[in-house]
Amino acid sequence: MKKKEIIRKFVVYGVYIIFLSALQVSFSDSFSINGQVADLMLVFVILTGYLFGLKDAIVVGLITGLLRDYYAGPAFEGGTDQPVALLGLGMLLMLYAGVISSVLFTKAFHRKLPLGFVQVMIVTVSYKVVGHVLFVIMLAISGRGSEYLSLFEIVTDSLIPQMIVNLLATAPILLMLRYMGPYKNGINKRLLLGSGETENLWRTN
Amino acid sequence: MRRLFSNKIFIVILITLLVVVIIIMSTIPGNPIRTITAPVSFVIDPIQKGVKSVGEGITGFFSAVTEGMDIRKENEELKAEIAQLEYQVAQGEEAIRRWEELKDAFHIKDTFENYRIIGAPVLTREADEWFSVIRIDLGQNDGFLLFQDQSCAVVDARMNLIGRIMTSEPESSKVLPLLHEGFSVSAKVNTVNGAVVRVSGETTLKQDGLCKVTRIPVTIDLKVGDELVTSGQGGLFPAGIPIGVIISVDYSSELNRTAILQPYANLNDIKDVFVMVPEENSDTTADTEAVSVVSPR
Repeated sequence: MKKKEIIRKFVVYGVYIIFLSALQVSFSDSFSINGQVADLMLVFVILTGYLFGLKDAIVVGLITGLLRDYYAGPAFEGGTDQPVALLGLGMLLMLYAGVISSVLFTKAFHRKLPLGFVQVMIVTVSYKVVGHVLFVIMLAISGRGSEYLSLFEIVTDSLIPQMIVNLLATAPILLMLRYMGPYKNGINKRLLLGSGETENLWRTN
Repeated sequence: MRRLFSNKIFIVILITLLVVVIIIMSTIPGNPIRTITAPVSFVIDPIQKGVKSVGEGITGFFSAVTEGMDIRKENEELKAEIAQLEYQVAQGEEAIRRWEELKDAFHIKDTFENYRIIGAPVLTREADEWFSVIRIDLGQNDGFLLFQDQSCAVVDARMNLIGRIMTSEPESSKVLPLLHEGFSVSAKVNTVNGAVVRVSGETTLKQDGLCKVTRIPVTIDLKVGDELVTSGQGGLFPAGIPIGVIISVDYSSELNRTAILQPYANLNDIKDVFVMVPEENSDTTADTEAVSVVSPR
């Protein structure tokens, strides 16, 4: 990879990560449906993994997760009256969102742009399900009781609104990555080497 | 070994273990992990403030344009002038509202005379339903120094409880909101010798903007409409900060008597908050020695 390409990759990823995360936490009330905020960070990580592969997904996932933890990292009470700010949970969740997105259905989907929406939908649902499970575990560990949302509430108040709002956010981010992204022509050529894929597989039509 | 590090699964597992160690260490008081976020604060906060101010500028611009177009429909000739005047009136009303709120805050300050009240704008809000801690524009560089395991109460302009400070970084501080599942505070009914109860955030109530009241003594019956204020027990919050009003009670179980509280503060509308910092020469709590303000904003 040429030096110029590497610089482009770092700059574009850096700008997008900082911009999207700042946008999400600064104007969360403007990008929300039924209390669920458009998860620009998550969508960005999913699409990076989907379009540009595992290595990019790991790096972007970790950095985005660190910012997520920094801005709004969850608090863990741990049975005391002094809650501590957890660091790393966002990194872990974003890492796996990227990793799953980079391996799940990429051969079947051929990294085609319209199917990026399907990928966002699948990983968003997975993220929410894992999030709810983790949260229940954390509540149990911290001794805050066993009361939690019902399955119906999780589906109607959490999963569906989050999916809708994330799908709405997918279109601009997908276009940004494809046409103003870290790689020329929106293609990570390293993924093509040895995979038997051609650039045609990336085309949308 | 080199072959091992080229294995993608191995790399993912290795990173996972590393992150899990970070998570575990971050729960230990006094850990050095938290210093990771200090450089992030220096870089990210100014950029985030920039994005926020640009966004607000654009929003303001489009609002002004929309107002101007409405006025044009009514009177084409006076469009520009009316648009300008409308905008100025809106700005003036906002300024008057803010001034009234600040005036109220200063009045309350007399009530809590052992506390210094520092205003700070809200920088960031929740990232999703679990990452819901907020950040305010008050950090160590502003002279607000918060040691490990210490905290301060955060209130709105009408002195209603909003939450508590969790951590302070160079450029900003994290606030744990009242509705957050990790938040709890000792409260009492706002009457002479009112019953002491516990108010805490609850997952099932958060989306509706409500809190749960527990540890209600068997001898006391809370009633709908009762006002709860901080009790002052525990030393973190001064007594008497209004929290909210009881909207329903559930005494179906004698062992688990609960109630639902509607907080006075509406977190969605809050743009500025006020941090209550104990004065260094007051004898309120042990917090006094730990929390210091070198040079308030």
